[in-house]
Amino acid sequence: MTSPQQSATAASHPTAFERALVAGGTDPAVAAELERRIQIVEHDERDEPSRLPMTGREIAVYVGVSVVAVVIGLLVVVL
Amino acid sequence: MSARGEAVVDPKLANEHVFGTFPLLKKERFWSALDFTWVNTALAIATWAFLVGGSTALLVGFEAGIAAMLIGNAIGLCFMVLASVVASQRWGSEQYTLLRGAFGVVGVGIIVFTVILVTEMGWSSLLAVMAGRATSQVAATFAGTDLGQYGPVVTIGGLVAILIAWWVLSRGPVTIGRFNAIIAPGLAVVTVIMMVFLVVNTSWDALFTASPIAPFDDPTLNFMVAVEFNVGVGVSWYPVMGSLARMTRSRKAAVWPAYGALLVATLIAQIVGMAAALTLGDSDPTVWMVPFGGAILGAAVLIFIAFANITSMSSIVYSTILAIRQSSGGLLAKVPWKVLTASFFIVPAIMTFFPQFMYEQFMIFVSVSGAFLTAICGVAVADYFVLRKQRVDLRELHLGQRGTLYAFAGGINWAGLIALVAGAAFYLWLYNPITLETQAVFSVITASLPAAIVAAVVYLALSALLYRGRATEVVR
Repeated sequence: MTSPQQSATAASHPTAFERALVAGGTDPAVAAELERRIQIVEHDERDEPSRLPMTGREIAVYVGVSVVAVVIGLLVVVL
Repeated sequence: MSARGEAVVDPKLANEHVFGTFPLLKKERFWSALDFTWVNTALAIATWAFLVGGSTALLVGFEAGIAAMLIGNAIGLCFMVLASVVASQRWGSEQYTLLRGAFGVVGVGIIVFTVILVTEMGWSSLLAVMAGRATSQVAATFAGTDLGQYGPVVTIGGLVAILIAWWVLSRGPVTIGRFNAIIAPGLAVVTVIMMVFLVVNTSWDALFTASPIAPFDDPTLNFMVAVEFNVGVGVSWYPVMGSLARMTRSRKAAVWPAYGALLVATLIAQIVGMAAALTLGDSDPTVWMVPFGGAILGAAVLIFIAFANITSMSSIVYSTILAIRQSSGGLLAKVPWKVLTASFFIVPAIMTFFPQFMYEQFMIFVSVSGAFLTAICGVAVADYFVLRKQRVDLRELHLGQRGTLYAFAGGINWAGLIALVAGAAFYLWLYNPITLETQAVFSVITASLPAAIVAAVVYLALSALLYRGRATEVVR
């Protein structure tokens, strides 16, 4: 199976993605709006900090805070 | 209108906005860290938190209870936030669309129409009953008579609460956010007032020396069951958090308010509930707030609490309806928002006629639903962070079975569903909340975190076995 390819065409020239959605019963206007938004997310907002993956450091800090909370709880019991 | 500001003229598009079909863009993600903190605070300080505190007091005393609540919520929230908030915030999509890689389109539908729907109907029922109890107590205060803890006024109050929640829901997420911004700070103040009344009317000494209400013989087991119960509470936020987090501006505005606000606000409210249960024998402020605070202040607090339950109900039902709509495979596509939300409330409305049942089965409900939710979280974390390395393809997600990445035979990713069942079964083997049977190792490792890990490992192993060589991204 081949995945539909993205293109920058306007709504009047539906992309393969839009055509696949419409073939599945999605309203053409909804399919076009989805395509428009995904293009913005993937291109215009691609380098926005809010669109970047969570870094290893962020994950480590986040899990570390949880571990500290658990240790504090254990200390309350032990002490 | 879209989530904020952007005019959507086409009614079809406007409808899809309401149902969360579209990934949100930068200009539509309008919740700051403070906004999201208030949203989470309003969710956390509903009267369910008082009930959790009271249930914890069945097993442990005040200090051990605080420790159990801190440890349990910290663990549960940690992997719940990773499983729901992170991906939804990044991609602006609601969390059940993002689960298609882990479970398949049909698999997500199975989960939503079983685990998620039952869980959220249970919580909504409980909130409605709690709002009804507050209403009943206020009515009794002004009528000067005892209407009973589970009398008909509770049912009437619960039904009215459901009606109001439905009205708030019908106005959409922006209205829910506005209500939360008013309710949350007020709830924080009310909770402090209740704690002051508790301490003034009892004593710190009574609080710290109070014995647990109905413990097992083994103190270690008591503590670990209390921890496990609170892990379940932390995980219970899973069904709603992703759909809310997609409206935040940044990851910092999503992750830390979700974790921090839920942890701190839950703890404060739970401590009040536990203190009340240990010193007065009842965690529910609807029972003791009027005698302690007097008719006017007590009634005002209870009215506020009843309203807070309504906003909490609106928030959780909003996310659940999004999930149902997105997972129905087009079956519910033409059903209007107001009809869908009204349909959801049928079971909670019926349950308001059995208020005592809801209260008595509370611990079992939290723990059993937690068994499945922790397993879902384990699979979701393994899928997003390990298998897909935080990369998802939005087009493929929306194509589902018509695409390549997230299309599975019959629409079910068996690796995900089997892992879910394995994780939940492992949980129930370690700790059966219905029979209260536990394995010896439960007193060391509890059940939720190991169940999530088992689900994650089984998922990754089965993915490698069943879908060897399968691509995780489309090269364009």
